[in-house]
Amino acid sequence: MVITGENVVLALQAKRPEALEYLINQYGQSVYSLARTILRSAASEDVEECVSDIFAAAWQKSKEYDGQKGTIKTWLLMLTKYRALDYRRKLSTQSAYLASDEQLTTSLQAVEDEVLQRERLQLTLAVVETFSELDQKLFFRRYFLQEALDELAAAFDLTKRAVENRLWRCRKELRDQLAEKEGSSCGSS
Amino acid sequence: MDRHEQQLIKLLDLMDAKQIEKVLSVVDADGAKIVMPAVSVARIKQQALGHAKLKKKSRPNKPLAFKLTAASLLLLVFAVAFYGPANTWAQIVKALNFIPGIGKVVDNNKETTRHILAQPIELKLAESTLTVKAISVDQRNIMVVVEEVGDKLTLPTQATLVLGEQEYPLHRTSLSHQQRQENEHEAWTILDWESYFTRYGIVTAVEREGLVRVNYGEEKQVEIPFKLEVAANFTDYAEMGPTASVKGLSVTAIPSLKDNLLKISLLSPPLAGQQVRSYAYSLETLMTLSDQRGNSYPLAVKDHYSLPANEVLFDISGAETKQFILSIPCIVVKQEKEAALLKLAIPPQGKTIVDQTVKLAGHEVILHTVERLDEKTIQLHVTLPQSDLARAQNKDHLVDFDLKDYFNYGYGMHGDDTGRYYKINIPRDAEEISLTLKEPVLAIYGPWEIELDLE
Repeated sequence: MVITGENVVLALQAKRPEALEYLINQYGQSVYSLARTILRSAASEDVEECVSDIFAAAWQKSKEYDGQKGTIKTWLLMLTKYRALDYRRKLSTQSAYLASDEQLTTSLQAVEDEVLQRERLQLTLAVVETFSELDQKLFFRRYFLQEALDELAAAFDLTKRAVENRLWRCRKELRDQLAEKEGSSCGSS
Repeated sequence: MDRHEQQLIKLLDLMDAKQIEKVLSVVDADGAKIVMPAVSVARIKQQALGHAKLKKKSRPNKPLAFKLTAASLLLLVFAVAFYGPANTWAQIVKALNFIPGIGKVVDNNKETTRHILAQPIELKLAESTLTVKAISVDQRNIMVVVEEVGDKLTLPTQATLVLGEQEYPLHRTSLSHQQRQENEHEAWTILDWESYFTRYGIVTAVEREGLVRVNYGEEKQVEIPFKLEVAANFTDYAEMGPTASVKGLSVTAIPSLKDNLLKISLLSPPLAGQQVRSYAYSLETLMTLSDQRGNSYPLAVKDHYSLPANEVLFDISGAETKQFILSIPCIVVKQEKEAALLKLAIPPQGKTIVDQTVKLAGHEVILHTVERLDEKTIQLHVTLPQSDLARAQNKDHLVDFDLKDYFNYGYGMHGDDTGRYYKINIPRDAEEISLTLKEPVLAIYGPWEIELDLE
């Protein structure tokens, strides 16, 4: 059977190894790139192990994939994020990260109205785009890649206090702009 | 991190692949693009695929005679259009316990005369194939199933059944379709659609000859003429076809042969308080076909199967016998009368461990935690017994159940498919609630082995 983008999910769920190979060929680069970014200080062997672990998890959990919630690529990238965060936690002595599979599910389940949340996400990303380049990096590395404040301070040659202040200003700006945008969208509807 | 920061993390988790990649480009804007080294690709493939192959069950080699030739590939493509084991159609057939082109089992001859289409009718159009898969007409009901396969199709808006001089506009009861996007910049195009049209009301005169008119908006319509036959009525299932019974569950198999493709339709007599949901638990537990000599025959168009799997096609090209054995490993059944009632204490805030086991239809459901989300909502985390383990041992297991008053649920990421979270509405500030777990769905293992004789 020739594996294509259309039958890969079904083939993966039917436990056909060629489907897994297709996923590695198609999305391996994106998965590796995200894992490498999260595990930036890890050895390349650890990144490789993490990536193969991610694809093994995709194989095992293929039945959990819900096509209505997003593409297979998005699902793989979210698996990557949390698997890489787990690796990072194991590899470092720090334990300040939020990541665990159960917390991810709980937090996702706790999202009250997904449609509204996605609209809010769009607005959030639009506001973050208006931040300075440095603030955008800090924002995403803190809230998407969940890097510790100490690491961010070291990476950008700032004090921890300065990182905290910049992130606080980002959040305040975000809150203010969202309140304005959401208020105006409510008013216009 | 404060609450707002945690909300941001949750919100960013909703990003799709495109958004994630954009974020990565921001994060690494001043660094070189991360490229996976070729040696890493090889090692990752070796590790991940090694894992997959270890986990995969070994499959018997296909006999040489069944290797697909170009000609049989064409036949399979044709078969998709002709029989189309698509989900909507399969659901309808199962619901009506009706075998297209054959008939149905009736109770004490209460059934009125029913006219049916004996074989699907195909109409080749310029860029597609339109197929009337089934027609069933009696004095009260009309049922028509139409399918179109092609490229860049338009969905139908309406259909009419014309019998003699009488026209019966039909209601489009269901419409399913598949679409494809070549790449992210292209528009989605429709590859196939299947629609179930019905009409409930008096059918004044059942003429055997007529046509189905399919409308695509106001501009375009296509007409397909047909001739109906009187459907056979059967007094019991065994009369309709070979039947096997295991653990009180009966399955009747109706084989029909077209060229080298053996179509098998399955049906089960209604049982008080039970409802057959599907004739497989997963694609891995789909039925198999073999002969007395031990040759096994592959499923045709395997990619197109979906549950309830009550219609399957086997490729029997090269077979030297007309006697086959159909084996159905597993049947999934909903037990409508089973329920379990329990009391659940609700924490004033946050999450508490429940760690309580409840028996439902003789199977365990484990309640792990209950979390108050707000004054009117809780989230319950439960797991069902390890279905993979049970399946490996061919033990009947709980697949699903319904929970009174829940309004949302999702699966957990526990390394298996057994964990789930239910969000439940509760009376404002309730400290305890009653929970009813009901209508368990069980995977029952046989196998049901049915001898088929095509002579």
